[in-house]
Amino acid sequence: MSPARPPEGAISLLEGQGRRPKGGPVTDATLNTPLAASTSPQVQAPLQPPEQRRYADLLVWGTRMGLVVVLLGFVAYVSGWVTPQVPVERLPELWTLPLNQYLAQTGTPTGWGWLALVQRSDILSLAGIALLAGCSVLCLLSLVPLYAARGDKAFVFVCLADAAVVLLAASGILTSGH
Amino acid sequence: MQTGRAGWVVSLLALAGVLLVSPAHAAAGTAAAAGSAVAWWVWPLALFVVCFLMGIVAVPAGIGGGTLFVPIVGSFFPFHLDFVRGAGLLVALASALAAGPTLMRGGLGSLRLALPLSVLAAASSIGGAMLGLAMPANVVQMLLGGVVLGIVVLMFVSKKSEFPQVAQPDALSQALALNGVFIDGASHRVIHWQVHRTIPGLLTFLAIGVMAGMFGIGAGWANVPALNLLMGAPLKVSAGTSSVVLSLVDSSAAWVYINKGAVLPMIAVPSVLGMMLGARIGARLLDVLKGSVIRKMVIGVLLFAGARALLKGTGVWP
Repeated sequence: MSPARPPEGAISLLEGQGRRPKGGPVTDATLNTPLAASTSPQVQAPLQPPEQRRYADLLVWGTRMGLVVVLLGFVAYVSGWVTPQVPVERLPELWTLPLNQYLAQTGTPTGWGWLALVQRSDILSLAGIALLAGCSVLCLLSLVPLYAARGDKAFVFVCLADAAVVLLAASGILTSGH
Repeated sequence: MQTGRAGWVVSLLALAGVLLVSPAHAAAGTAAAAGSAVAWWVWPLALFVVCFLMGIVAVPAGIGGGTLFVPIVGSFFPFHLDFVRGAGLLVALASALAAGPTLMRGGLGSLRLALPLSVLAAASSIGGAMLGLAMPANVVQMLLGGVVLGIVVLMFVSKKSEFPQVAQPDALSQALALNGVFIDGASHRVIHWQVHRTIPGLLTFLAIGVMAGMFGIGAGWANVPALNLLMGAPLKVSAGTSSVVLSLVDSSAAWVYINKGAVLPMIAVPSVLGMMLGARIGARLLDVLKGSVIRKMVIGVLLFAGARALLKGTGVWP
């Protein structure tokens, strides 16, 4: 099957992926730029749009930070160097229980209550997990100025909506009152 | 993610070393906690090893590690399903976060395509997670068994189209400029792509989000056919973009589990580390392992785990 043709109305300059044309029609010369390169075996990787590169860069750092905190907390938990909220010796009798019974027996807080106990090793590990689950929000918000500068209102809205959904889930508003 | 090999080796050694050598806890563990004849550290260690193996086979089998994790760990480990689903979401999330940046830089993951789909899927995953945590465990177990068996059927019958023909993008796709370009590594060709059927695609992702949140199984198995066969994205772009979508969908659902207190680091951390390490090795073994053989093996395992989940939920095989 042949590859897809350049989309109608899309600027095919590699840097301009996904950008809507603001001026006149796209010229054949513009469209042929990347396709002509495809005849050579030494094809250079297309430069992805700036927002995609920014998102990828920030996601790498967010993930790294989250994993470091997760590992620090976990090593402290397993080694017993730092006092945990739930001692490891009790886990085999607890992890078989339904969630509400587990919470009742361990006194583990729900919502953002864990933040007050972040000095405990298992909760520190949880903080790292929260970083992993939350790092996308900053990545999304960092795209808003880029899209806004380009006048791409639809994607300003989409980014804000995506961030709002994750923030809504993180807020605990929907899950309070377990 | 581009964490160096040394970092992973250190992580692995730290985990294994701390679990095995820590004298105080090993002594306490061998004393066996009340209600369990097995030392506490045996299960996290077993979980790490099993996830490592799952990570190795998941890549050549073309399936997300999260899809294997919940049915297998939920069926064969002593953990309550609530905690398994929480960990499953984190396994899927960590895998997506690890793969996403590389895929986006290479053009195989399209942020522009992923973002609109993620809004609806992430919102519905919150509902799915809340629903899953509110339902009795045996009902979720039964439904999970049904979904896993459905995935097996999908793996059997699903066709793939490497470069689907999209003659004309629909109005919404055109308005949002859902298109892109990447270099196909196999043919060294520059591939331009665009999508169609955007509204049916959005609705499909709404349903996928519910399942991802409810069962904690990730959703690459559903994302890729939806993007490839329904919306007409090239297969490689579908797989890459699925990873970007998952990173947002699973983030939302994971927060529900975190806020509910359903994430146990002792289950989640060995799972995430084992799966990520295994996936790295699986990716390197892609050329060595026979994908079709691995795929059949995974189908067999999923068939067994799905049947086990179904029977466990119905009480036939508790």
